[in-house]
Amino acid sequence: MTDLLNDIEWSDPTLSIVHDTEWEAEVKADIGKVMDIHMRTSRSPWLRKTILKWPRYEAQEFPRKLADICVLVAAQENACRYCFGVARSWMRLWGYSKKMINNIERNVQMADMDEKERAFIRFCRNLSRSNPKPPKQDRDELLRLGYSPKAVAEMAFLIVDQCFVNRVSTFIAVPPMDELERLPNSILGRLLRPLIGWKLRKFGWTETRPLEGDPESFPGVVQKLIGLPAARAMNDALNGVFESEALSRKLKVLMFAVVANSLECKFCIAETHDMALECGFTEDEFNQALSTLSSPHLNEQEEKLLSWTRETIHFQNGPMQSRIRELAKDVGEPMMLEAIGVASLANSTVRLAVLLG
Amino acid sequence: MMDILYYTAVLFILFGILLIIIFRQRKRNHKLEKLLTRTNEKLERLQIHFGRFTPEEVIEHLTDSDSAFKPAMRSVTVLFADIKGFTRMCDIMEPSDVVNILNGYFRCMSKVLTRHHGQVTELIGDGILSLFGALKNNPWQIQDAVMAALDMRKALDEYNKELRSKAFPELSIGIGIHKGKVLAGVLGNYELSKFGVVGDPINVAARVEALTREHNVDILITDAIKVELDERFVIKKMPSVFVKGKSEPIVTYEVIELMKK
Repeated sequence: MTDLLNDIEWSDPTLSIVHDTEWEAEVKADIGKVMDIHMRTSRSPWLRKTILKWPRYEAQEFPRKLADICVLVAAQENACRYCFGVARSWMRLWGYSKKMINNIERNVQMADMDEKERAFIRFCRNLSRSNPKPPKQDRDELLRLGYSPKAVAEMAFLIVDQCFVNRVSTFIAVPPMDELERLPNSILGRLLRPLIGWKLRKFGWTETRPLEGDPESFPGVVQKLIGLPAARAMNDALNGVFESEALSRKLKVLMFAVVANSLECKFCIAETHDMALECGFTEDEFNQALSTLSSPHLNEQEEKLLSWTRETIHFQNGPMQSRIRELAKDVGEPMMLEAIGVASLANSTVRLAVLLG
Repeated sequence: MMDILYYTAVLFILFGILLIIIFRQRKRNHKLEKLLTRTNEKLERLQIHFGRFTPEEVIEHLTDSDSAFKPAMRSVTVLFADIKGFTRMCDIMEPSDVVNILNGYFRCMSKVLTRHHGQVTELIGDGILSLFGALKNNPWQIQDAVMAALDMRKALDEYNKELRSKAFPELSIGIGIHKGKVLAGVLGNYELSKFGVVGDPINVAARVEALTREHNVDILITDAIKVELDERFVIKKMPSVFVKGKSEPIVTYEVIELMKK
């Protein structure tokens, strides 16, 4: 069982820790402990908030067990060593057997699950992998098996939410939480498992504020989630990314466009096209920028980040983490962190759009 | 009394039989689980080794879906690279040295090609056939291929330093790049098949590579590539040349450099 964890290629962190006392106090008040990832993302206000909340999203429309499995499967498929270790430990502390976790990981012997559950796991695996494109037929299969469209939309959101967290953690190479990973097998962990599990469940987060007004960025994607807490969560993240000034709006629009083009998402291609024209590109300039990954509107550092964006669609941890280390030296850590957030959100948004569009 | 004893004995026997059945079943389950784990480990190992012979995407496709990777027409960019004077080198050097030099060369070039999203599809003697956009949608395949070629030039300079330090002769390469539609997929029959590509663009790329000797340059591209490159790429037109299998002469361009911003 430990083999799978150890098989994942992982390096030292690519970005350094930055202490922000105000932020750390906020995190502590929310979940009681400031973790490594919260300090490494502290420079970017929208990203740090999203990273604090999204991993704890509580699904409303489908059973908790499926949501727990989703976290594990997404982390495994995205080969995120950090998230995989956390998800596996959380599941053990929530009372899932070692054997069941092992079977889900190996994708075998799921005879104790019903057809709906197995279809859900397949959906999780394929959407997380999204190679070459998110599988729409898996979504149709879930609808056929009796899940409501709202439940399927929330499942898709939960998976891309996890993919976002997986990407950010992998790109930063957040150090695994050794202490937490040891806990389920320790005497203390075994004795206090129900208590720790209960405490962990209390960290769950769901967006209770309704979405006010029309969504601004990628309204078509957010609208597919209306009626779910996910709509507000997605809307806030998208607004946060486009309001942030750490990277130019032009670069961010192009980064989203690059992902949309690679995943052949017609909806997002059209959306980014309109956004590009609004922020000062001419039609030709936008097309030229997309076909060459270079533009007079971007400086050399921004062009490097744009080229890197396409590598975030399918990647291998080792080469990706060394590339980010190199790039961070070149463009500076604040810019790199922001680019990691933008590229990760672009991947999640476009995948969601392909699936729900 | 006898009846009670009789029924108790029968019950005991039945209970015993049940216990034996449960015990055997558990043992069998345990054996099967062990077998499954071993088979899984074997499959994982096989996948790793298989990855050295076939592109990772093809393996994923074959293992994750029921359908075979059926050949389909795809618009791809073909890069063909070859070592100039390799035959002569084979004649004058120890075979083991030639193999070491060649392996080092393949290692350097594969790294560069992979970095630029190229798929090293085949190693033909000292030649490398690499495809861009054959397995995944790649809207930047032309730019990728030309940038890969420019980086191969740099990587070769580095590798030549290493060869010089070992008193080995330096290598010089020719690269030909062309774009067109090829049939890509798993080709062959049930007994023997492999991932491969078939189509005229492959031959054209090889012919263009051969022209690098005639024009005394290292990177040549065809018109199909040139029209899609932007002005950052500095290129120079070469005289048109007739090549084998083509009725019209081929226009090629030397790729000189990529201008920095």
